[in-house]
Amino acid sequence: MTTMASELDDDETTITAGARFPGLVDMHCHLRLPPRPDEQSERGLAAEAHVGGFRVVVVHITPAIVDRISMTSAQQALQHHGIEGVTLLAAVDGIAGDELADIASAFGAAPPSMPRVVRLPPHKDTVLVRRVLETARACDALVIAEPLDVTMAEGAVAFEGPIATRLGLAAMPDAAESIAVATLTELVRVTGARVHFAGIATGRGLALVETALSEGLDVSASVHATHLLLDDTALLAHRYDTRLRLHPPLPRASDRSMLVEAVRRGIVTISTGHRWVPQRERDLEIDKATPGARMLMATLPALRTVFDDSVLQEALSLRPAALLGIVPPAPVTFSDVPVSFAATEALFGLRGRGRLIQRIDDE
Amino acid sequence: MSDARSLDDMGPERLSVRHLRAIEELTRPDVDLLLSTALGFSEVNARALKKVPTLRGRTVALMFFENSTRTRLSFELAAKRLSADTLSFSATGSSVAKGETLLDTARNIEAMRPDMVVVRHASSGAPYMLSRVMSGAIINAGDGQHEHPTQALLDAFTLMVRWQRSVAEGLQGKTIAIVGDIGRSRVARSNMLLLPMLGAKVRVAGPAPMLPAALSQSFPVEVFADVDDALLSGGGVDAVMMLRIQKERSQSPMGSDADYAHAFGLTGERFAKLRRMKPDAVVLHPGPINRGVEIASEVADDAASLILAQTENGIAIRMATLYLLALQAGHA
Repeated sequence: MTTMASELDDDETTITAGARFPGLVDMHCHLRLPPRPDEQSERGLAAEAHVGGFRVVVVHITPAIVDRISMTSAQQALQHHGIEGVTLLAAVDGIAGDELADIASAFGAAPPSMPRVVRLPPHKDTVLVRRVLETARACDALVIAEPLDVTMAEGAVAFEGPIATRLGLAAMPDAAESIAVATLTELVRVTGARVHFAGIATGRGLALVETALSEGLDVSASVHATHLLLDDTALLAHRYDTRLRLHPPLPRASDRSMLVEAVRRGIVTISTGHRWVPQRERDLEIDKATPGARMLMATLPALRTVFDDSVLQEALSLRPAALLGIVPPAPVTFSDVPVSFAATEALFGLRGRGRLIQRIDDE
Repeated sequence: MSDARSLDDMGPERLSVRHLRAIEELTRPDVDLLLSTALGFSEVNARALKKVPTLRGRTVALMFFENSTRTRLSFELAAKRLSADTLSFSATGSSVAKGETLLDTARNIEAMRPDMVVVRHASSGAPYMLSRVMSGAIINAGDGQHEHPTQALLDAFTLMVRWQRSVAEGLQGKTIAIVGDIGRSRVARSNMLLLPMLGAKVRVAGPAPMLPAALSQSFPVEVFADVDDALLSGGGVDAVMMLRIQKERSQSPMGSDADYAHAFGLTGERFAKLRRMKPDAVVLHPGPINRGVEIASEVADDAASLILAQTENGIAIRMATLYLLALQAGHA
């Protein structure tokens, strides 16, 4: 038995009930290496993953891992400062600046057993994106793409709609996502690469993913936990609160319903989209604040208010593990799991309100 | 306009809000109270001695992170006519230019203990941010693309004075067109809430890229793609509010200023057509105006133009705002 206490909180959150889950797998979280003094460390991230029940986490690292040297450095940091029982996988960046990263070289520095993952952030150069997919396919790597059109999505705080219009927020059209999904899907057709769309946020993007799946293309998709818990009505309720600045922005309510249903139907999996945002980057105007939410600890308990455990086991463990080509992590028995998380507490409840203590038994 | 509250009459009526951050936070009684109080102050402004001791000993901080002429001078004069001390801040030449954050600037201004803070900022929601960290009343003097509530109040006030409407009558039965860059305009947003609240029907028109698709879902307005339809259909509008193209925020959607003037500007010819249908039609513009672009000089300088009356009435509206928020905080 391991008793974990978050090194970051003083929460006295009451935790009740118990559950047994396969170890969870997160395909999309963010970390800066080395962290600045007020940022989350690799150990802090691993600790939160452990508390949240995650045993394998794909980490999108800043600055980008683009070659053997940066991969070696990242692996050393993650292993040296990690926590037993939690595997942090560094994703290789597909594009370094405006150049193709040295993907094969970077994978050469990783243990052979490590799943090969290429990160593909939004990029405006479709020719370069095609080369990333071709290279990833040659390396037998899974591409985890953030499907957003760079120019349409730039600076957006919300999706276009009545709420963004009412609040005067910079907004992106749904097409910012659907154009990117359509483009990448076509490139999957051309290159034969395996692509996972991380952070789908619109019904239109979802429909395109379903179409691609029905055509037998090797694509998959995940939705960030935040986007299953909250929609843009939260922007009205918590006006200009920078904790609601997310990337992609929160979906409209009708889109959130479609995303939730897609998880239930097994069309998409769930990722945390976890990104620690230091307070100095939160204490800014909403259009200048860094997007992100701290979700590794909150994802499972919060989502238990939305989904049955069987759905969560599939969407947070079994299917992500299959996409990464790994055996699902050994089951974890939570001695105590919060079962009545209010949706907004996922964002607001875990900071500065005491000490979150959760006991976890690894089997 | 009637229903003025003289200074002697000003009793215990209070606003329902601590801050004036947005029109959408105001109730109709709040708006009526602001308008009737402003009418009282407009009488003060007509006197030879224009100063009253209402806010003596109080401090009003003017935090302008964006350029402003009318609004800034108007608030400053309003505060001075109420005998308040003013603390003036502009981003240019301040610590902001050296990289200080809005929050840190606010904390430093807060340390000087202002009773009220007037803020203009390029980011939507900046007044909400300040109201979380400052103890004084926050007054929004324009935040990004969100709202400019005192501008809408002075616009409504100006129309009601012109049309000799009582506060109770409001703008019932009147139709007002707002033309220009609706999507980026905080003035439009505040007016699209306030004018319907006072009973007016509101039409909006502008180039397609300046009309958000969700506009009619967000506000009780009728959207027109064609400016002539907006001005002339249904017997014509009673007032036209022209907005400037905000070139500092985006490129013009039209090929040139001349093209814009032809397609969407209030030209002499276009206004003459409206006058034939509505002889008493009036023109508003929040300023600064771009002559020959969104409004022709002959229209801007016409007797039907209320542009200078807007500027004058802005002082009374801002005096009312400062006074009522001070009253709410127990400072007046």
